[in-house]
Amino acid sequence: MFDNNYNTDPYTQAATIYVNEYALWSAYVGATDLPEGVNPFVPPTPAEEKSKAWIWITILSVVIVLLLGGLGFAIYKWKASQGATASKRELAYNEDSTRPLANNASDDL
Amino acid sequence: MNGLPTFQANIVGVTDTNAYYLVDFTSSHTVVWAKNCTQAVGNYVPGSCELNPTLLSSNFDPANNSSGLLIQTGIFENAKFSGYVVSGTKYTTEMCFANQACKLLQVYSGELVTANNWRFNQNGAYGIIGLSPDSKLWSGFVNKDTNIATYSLSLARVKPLTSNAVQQSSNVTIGSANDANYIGMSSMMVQALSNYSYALQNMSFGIVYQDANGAPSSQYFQSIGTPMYPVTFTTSFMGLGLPGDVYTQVTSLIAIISNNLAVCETSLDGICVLPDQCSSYTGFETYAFKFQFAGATNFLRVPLATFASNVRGSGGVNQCNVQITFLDTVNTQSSNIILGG
Repeated sequence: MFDNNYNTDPYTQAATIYVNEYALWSAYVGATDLPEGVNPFVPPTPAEEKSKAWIWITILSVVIVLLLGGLGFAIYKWKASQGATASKRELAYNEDSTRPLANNASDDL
Repeated sequence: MNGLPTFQANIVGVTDTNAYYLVDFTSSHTVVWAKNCTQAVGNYVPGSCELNPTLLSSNFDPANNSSGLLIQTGIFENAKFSGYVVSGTKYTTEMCFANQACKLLQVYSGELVTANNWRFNQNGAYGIIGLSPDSKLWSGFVNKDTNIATYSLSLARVKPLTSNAVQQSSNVTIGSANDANYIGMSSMMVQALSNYSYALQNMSFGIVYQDANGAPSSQYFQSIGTPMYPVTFTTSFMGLGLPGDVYTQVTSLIAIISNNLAVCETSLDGICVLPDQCSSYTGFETYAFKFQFAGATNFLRVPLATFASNVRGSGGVNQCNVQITFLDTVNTQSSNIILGG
């Protein structure tokens, strides 16, 4: 309800506010404050992000371990294959060189 | 009209006998949309006022003056009516309300509309009747003993949120108060500022928890009214209008409680929209706005459900509109919180 007051210059206005007679929901006019409840405006994302962060850390750790394992295995295999190649080369070299050596040796002798 | 109360009136010069008008309790003058009205709003191609984004019923024709009561008195530029910025010609004419009470008064013939900040893409009726305390229309409604003019607004929803709710109608009285049902009820009296807006001490948005019996048991409210804009009451605006910075604070809270389902646009006619019908969401009745007006002991709490309504969106799917509207503070008449119809 609004009252325009024309007794003053400039005119003034005052409003008296009630909860509507047909209000369907919990509209309220009064002075009673309720006790403070739970804050509903805490975004759920930080907790989720924290849990997601742990998931990512675990996944990355597993990936790093697998990569390191794979790298170690690869180095091992490479070393092993290098050793085998060296042996083969040595054998091949020795095979190629035994006869000349023998010949040369005898020549030198 | 779109949930807003309108008034039927006969104004000499308006040819449509069924013309209806919005009422603005913040405007001191009355505007009628001229037959030759053109709009040049924003990036829209200038054209008839009957087109988007103004959607006005342009009907006022000065040539329609068989009674001789219509007299041109001057011109006006950039006058402000309910978010419209209008230029045109002033006339003295006769206005008769539905109860046959007639009055000679000055009306503004809107011939060029250059801004539409409150009712973008919404029906603008045949004009707007200005009923601020400075309006000459009040002279017929002032109590001679007290020198006070009274009016009352009791606004009802067109489409209640719950289907079992009984449909009520709005009741607006001019010159008296239809307050018989409110005698003895809790109320809040507030004094207007010099521009007839109402200063706020605090505004907040939050939740009222209920116990097992449905009685309010606790609450949590977060302050949102920074900076503290005053409140304007009017029936020519739909829902709750919030200046941009306050709108942003509110919509960020709505985003949290809706798990980011609410899409809130920050455009001229921006509101919040939820993708399904309103009854699909809980919390409309427990979340509320709290208004603490300056100088008042009591406060006002308005549920969020007040502003929610089902509409049929594109594709025929029901969606839930939350009629909290973005107001760009650089625009005319957009620097107050508006409590509309």
